[in-house]
Amino acid sequence: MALIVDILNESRHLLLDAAVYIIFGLLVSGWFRVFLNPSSIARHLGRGRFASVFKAALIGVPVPL
Amino acid sequence: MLPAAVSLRKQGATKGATTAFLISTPESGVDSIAVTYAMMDPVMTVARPVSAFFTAFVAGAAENLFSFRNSDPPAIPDLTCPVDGCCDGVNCDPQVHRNHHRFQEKLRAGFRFAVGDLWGDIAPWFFLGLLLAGLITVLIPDDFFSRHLGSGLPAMLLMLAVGIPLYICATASTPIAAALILKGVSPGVVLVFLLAGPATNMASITVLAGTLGKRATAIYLAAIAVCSVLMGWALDQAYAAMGISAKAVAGQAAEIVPAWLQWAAALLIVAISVKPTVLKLKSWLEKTVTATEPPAAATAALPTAPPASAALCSGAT
Repeated sequence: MALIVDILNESRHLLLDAAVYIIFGLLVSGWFRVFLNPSSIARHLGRGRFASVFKAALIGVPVPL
Repeated sequence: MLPAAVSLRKQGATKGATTAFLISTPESGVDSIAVTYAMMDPVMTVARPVSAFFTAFVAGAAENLFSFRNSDPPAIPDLTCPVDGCCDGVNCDPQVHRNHHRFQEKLRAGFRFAVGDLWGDIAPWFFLGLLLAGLITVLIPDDFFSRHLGSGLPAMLLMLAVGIPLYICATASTPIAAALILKGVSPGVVLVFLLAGPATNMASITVLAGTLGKRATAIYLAAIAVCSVLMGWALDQAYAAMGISAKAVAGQAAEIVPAWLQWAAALLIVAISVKPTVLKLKSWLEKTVTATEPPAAATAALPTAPPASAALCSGAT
């Protein structure tokens, strides 16, 4: 029983550490999706052997799953 | 994740660009970057997105070395309105559409997407990740990893072997990574887990082979394996050169947040996690129940259900 409490305490500790940052990350991601213009993204991914890859890799970094 | 890749390809992205997007998107995101900063340290916060970009570019460039054709049709972007799907953007002038929704409506739509779709997918896995992190912290002896496989190439290869078939989203893998760091696993080894875990799983590999072909899938896997280990090795060198102990600096970013705000945010997170987690648990239970039911005459004739893949995130397929 004490073991389970210890484990949950560690989990709670991590959650408290991250909570504010999670909310921040989620909000930015959500607004990212609504405000970004999809036509300007897709236009960049069809042209150029390496330029298209470079841009796709770069755009994927901030975009969440 | 995979539907996004299929739709990108349909929208005219080159095979290499699709591959690159398929790697950098799951490996890194604003949410996981923020969580990494909170639970780990600034070096890791930079290392994750940079490695994701590097891996994605290498894989995509390698793919386009073989498959690029200049005659590829031009991109046809999906212009469907992201706020409420009020128009498809094809028969609707973007200038006109811009006035369909006010700024506040867009803010609200982004908020709904973040809380509902995005966190809804992540939440159950994130809490599982938190529990696993708690388990690691409490159950594994402090000197375990310094004696067994805490650093070096064999440990990185082991992480690859675990991470490639497993799927755990970038945000949910962060607490596990933070726990491993606190147990003395080297940051490079942890980075390999953070890169290979989210990028691939058995189901996505199968679908990828169907969408992009076998060669592209082989390039994708090879690039992830090689780049992850390479970046892991480089990260260990970087920590050594800067004289930083990842274990000592983990979680310092959280210290600047006042306790009341931490609690308020944590309660908010729990509040928005209840619904998706309960739904997820329910769907698991239902699956288990149907799986253990004795086969009736009618169902006995049906082919058996596809094997469950080792997926730790809803976006896996």
